Amino acid sequence: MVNTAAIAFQILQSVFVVLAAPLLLGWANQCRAWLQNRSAPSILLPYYTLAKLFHKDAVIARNASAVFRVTPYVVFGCMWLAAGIVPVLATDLPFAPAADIIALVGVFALARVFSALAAMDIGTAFGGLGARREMLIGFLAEPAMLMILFTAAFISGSTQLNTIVETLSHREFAIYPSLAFAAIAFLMVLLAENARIPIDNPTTHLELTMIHEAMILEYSARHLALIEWAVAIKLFAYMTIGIALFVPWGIAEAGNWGALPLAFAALAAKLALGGAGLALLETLLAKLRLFLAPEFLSTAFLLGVLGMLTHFLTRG
Amino acid sequence: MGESAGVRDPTFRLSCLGPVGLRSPDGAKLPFRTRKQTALLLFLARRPGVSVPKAQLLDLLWSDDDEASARHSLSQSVSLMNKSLGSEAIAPAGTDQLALRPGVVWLDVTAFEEHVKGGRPREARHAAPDAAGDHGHDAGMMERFGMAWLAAGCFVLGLFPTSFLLMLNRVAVSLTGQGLREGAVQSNWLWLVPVESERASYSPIVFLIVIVCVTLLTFILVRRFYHGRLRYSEAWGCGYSELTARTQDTADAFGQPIRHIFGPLYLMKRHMPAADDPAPRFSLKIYDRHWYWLYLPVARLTEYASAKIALLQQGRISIYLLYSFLTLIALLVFLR
Repeated sequence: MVNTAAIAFQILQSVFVVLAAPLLLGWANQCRAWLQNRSAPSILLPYYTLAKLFHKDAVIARNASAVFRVTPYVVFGCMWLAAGIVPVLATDLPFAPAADIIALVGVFALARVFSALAAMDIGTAFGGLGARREMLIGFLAEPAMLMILFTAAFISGSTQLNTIVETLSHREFAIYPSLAFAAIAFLMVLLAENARIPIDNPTTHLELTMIHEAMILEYSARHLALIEWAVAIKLFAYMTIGIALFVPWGIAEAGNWGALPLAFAALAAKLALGGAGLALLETLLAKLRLFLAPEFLSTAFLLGVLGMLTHFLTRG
Repeated sequence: MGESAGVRDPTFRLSCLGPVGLRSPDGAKLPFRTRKQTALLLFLARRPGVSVPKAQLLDLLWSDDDEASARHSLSQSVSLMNKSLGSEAIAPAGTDQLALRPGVVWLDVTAFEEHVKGGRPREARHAAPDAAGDHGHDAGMMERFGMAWLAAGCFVLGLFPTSFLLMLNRVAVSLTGQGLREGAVQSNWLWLVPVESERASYSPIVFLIVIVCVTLLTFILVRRFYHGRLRYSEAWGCGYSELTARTQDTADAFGQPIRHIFGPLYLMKRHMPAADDPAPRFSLKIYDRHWYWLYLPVARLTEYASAKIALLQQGRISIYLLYSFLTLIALLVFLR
């Protein structure tokens, strides 16, 4: 089962996701600028930003420990790994059997824990603030995410993402009410976990309103570049998880070179729509107060649970 | 502002945060004759011991008058002040200069600034003998070991879950008669198979190895394509890098958002000190509501019932013999 073509697909997918993630971010920023009636920056702006950051000298605090210096690499590595697990272009990748969706959630949690530790490492006030807020959001969003994934797992009978995608893409088109609930819940969790409006404003400069940004305030140069890149990959990975769970048509099988162009085209179209939708949501919604975020996330959890119960009630 | 640090000098107290007023060492209010006198004293008290040129004072306060009458007014104000403060409080210092002798007048603004900069606690009993305040130190080895072995236990549990799961499986089988499926029981130390190996599998050790490899790969690639230059500097901290013992982030603070959200489930009694409290105290007590809702009523009911039943225990042997006699009769009557 593990042949060279499958390995080539795996490597191709990993490299593709890492390289294409800033493009998705740039596209979402462009759409947001158009919606706000201003001329948009170049779609390649995130790449220029990353290149600029990589060239700078890193400045770190005197009391930074090893955790602070290791975290950007760990976070980037976790996101890269997640990009390798999620079936973006192809299913049946060789690495997939080692990890299922619960392990995927665990990988994201590992990145979050390391970010929080690094934020508290320097000992400044805003680092601690960002760390505890991020752990709060994560602690509330994880159960919702797991409920959504369990709904999909119950429908397809497995927690392996490959199997879920294959089952859902090969059934005849039918509307599963449980998946409808799960999709709305997934959208809410996606906004929360990726630090987008309405939970967190990624472009804010006001430290007291920051959640994710407050954790990376002390980072500069290549460390900051890696973390920003990891954030872009995380958004890409979440969107592709959503695509794999809810609209999986067009994904190729590993080793099937002929289906690859269709897979690319389908992915590009879905992500373009996803990025535009994200920009629309960010324009329409405003950032919630921090202690209204638990209500947002418990709504997501409730919808996830409703999806699971609907599955048991209707077997659909 | 209340008494600070329990130190009361035998000096005059000039307050300008709030209504301006001067008090003598025994607390009597000393009124100012004119506003220019007030301004003069405030200006000099702000810089005790510093020689101020008379020309500067004349420019500030008597700029409308000519030189002679201005100087006359200045020397009159100075002599009036010296009558209240004690002789030679404001004395000539250098050519055509004046200075307020240090230690004569206590100014509240100066004390406030010292508190803010030095970070001294308001309560005297918390004041450190030395002003440096360097009393925090890292946790010792045994403290860290206490936390480290728990963390290491979690880590080992995550890496080798199959043995624990199989142990728990025996419990499940004995309680419910149902256990894990055949395929799951076949899991070995490397691969965890929840149901069947075709449906899902998970290998924590492979996962960990891959994470470490990918992290190293990232590091190597960054160093290969770019550079590893590093510079050390002060922590940025958004400009708020002066941290004192009062601004520390504790574990209690880390859990504050979660405590706030789950507050209604617990009975929290919190006492926050007001800003003008002379003896500020913070206390937080968390109680379990179920203790009061479920446990205590049941306990009280049990106590009440047992108190009623205890009436049977009269302590006299004749009563107990009577109980035995009555029981015998009841058994004979009802159980023919």
